[in-house]
Amino acid sequence: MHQTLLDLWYGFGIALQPNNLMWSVLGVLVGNLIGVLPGMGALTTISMLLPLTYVIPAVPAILMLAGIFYGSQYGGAIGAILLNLPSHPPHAVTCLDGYPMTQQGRGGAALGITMMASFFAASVGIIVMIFLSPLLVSIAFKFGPAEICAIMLMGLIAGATMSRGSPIKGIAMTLFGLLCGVVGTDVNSGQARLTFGAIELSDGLDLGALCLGLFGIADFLTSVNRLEVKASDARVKMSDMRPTRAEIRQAFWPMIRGTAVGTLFGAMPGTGPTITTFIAYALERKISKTPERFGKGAIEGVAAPEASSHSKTQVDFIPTMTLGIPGDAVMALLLGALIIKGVQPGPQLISEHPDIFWGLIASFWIGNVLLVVLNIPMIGVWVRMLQVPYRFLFPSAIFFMCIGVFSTHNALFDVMELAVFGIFGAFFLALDFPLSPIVLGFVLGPMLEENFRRAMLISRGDIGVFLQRPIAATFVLLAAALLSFQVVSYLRKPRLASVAEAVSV
Amino acid sequence: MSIKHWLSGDRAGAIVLAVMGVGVVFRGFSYGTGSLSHMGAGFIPVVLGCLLTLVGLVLLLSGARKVAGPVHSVPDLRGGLAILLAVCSFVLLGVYGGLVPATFVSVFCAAMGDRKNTLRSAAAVAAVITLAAVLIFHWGLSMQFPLFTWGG
Repeated sequence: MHQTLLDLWYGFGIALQPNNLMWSVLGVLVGNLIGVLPGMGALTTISMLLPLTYVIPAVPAILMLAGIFYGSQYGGAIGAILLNLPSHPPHAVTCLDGYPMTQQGRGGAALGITMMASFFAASVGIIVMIFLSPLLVSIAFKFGPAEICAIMLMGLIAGATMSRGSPIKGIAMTLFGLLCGVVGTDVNSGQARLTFGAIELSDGLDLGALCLGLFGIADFLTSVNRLEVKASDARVKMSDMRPTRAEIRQAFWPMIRGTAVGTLFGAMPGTGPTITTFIAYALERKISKTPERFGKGAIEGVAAPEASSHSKTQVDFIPTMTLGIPGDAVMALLLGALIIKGVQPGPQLISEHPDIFWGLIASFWIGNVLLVVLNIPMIGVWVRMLQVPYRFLFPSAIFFMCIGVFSTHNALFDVMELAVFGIFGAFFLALDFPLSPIVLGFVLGPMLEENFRRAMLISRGDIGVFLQRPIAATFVLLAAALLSFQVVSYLRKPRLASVAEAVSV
Repeated sequence: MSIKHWLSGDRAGAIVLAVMGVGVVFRGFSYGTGSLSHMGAGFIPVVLGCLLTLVGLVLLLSGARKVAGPVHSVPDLRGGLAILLAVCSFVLLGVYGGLVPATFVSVFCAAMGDRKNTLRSAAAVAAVITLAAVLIFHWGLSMQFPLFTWGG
């Protein structure tokens, strides 16, 4: 306890160093700026700005990435509330009541409540993270390759089956992602795999190109000439951002319940933030005395999902940092960025790179404070950014994606990957396949293979090792149970629509 | 039931995935699979390929499920082609042209994909972004991307 507080103090020391703080501020600012643009979700924003972090050392780089993440997440909420345009799936629920509030002229209050809810929820998430992470690490040190493998397997299966829609499609996409991770030179034998003879692919596919192709280009491909962005005449002034006392009272308990839902689900690897926000919203509607107000501008319907998604993402950092197993695509991207910076996430991270771990935690808080500080005076600017017409926006964004991908390795070949993954992404989107599991599989694939090989080497090729070691066996059985439950319940009743339907009615 | 209808939705995806899986299995075998205790480079690809094929087949057989209606529409032809052309022209003109022509042409192409843009407005966006590219990436970040080049 005492030690934890000391570590936290040390973290604040790191995060508040002028140099680090500057990158953090820049990250939040740029993340918010890009995230607010229509069609720019958190994933696109982070992968677009990823190359910026390559030039700076690991600690400020990761602080900046966290800042970008926060900024883009909050920026997305602005678009959802003011324009009814969810550029990041978790914000789809926020639209339901956020946009009606804008139509009633209460958009500013909705933004204010969103900010309060996210700040509160993130703070709770950070506290959980501070005390839970060292605990998890002390267990994680007992893990061998077999255990790591089993946990990764469970994370992948959870990520594949717990998102919306068909679990079978999710699994297909996870496998596709794992195969993308295979591309390149095999570390053990030097054999080039699935490179189609291209020398440029011997280092594997580029993470930035993959993400920008799947989430950026593919999104533009499907929405060009199809997306109807209503010209927003919403004007939000600083003074509008303050919700009335009655609104705060109304939103208070939903905020706390949303936080609780998010924290609970954050502990489960693989459950994406989208499903969490849906559950938080459905819960509020269920226990509300006036459920008919939902969908027509109920402030509870904004506070609860936003709180849940923020506490969820915060708690998601625990398995990402301590086990090296990301909960969703955004976390996978951050994990990939860490690996590119030469930092191997895992139980040893906290002891080997205390500056990164505790600095990151402190910067979470600083980032959240920065968001509040930046957003109140700058809301006018964000609203103006929202009015940039889509027909100017997406050509410019495509250029920035191209140059961003190019700058990673100074290679135009990577830009071609961008186009290829754009086509893949649009194809899968048109057939209603989920895209996030691809990123999860791509990032985890190489680690899974390496650990699997090690486990097999140690056990002399006995696959039964996964069932003989208690911890590994637990996770394998959990994964199997989850998989069979999800598939069977999907095949029984059409789609996991019970929650979604409850919301959409 | 026409073939087009039968192929719609999940089944088309399932077939593509299954074919991809079979292809990977064949490639994988050529890398050598080895044994469980000494895995060859092809072991994991073969396993993944088999699983992908299997999932593809399962999807193909269970794919009769009716989807409430596509969430994402099929790309608009003009817009989609323009976007792909934009990325490709960036690559091509990046080699034979340089930063300035690559930026201008790719932004112009992409902008022309939107039916609401005119030649003039597309050129205007392209010009603005080209200027920004030169200022930010060439002078600001001194990126290794010549303004004008031929091959090199």
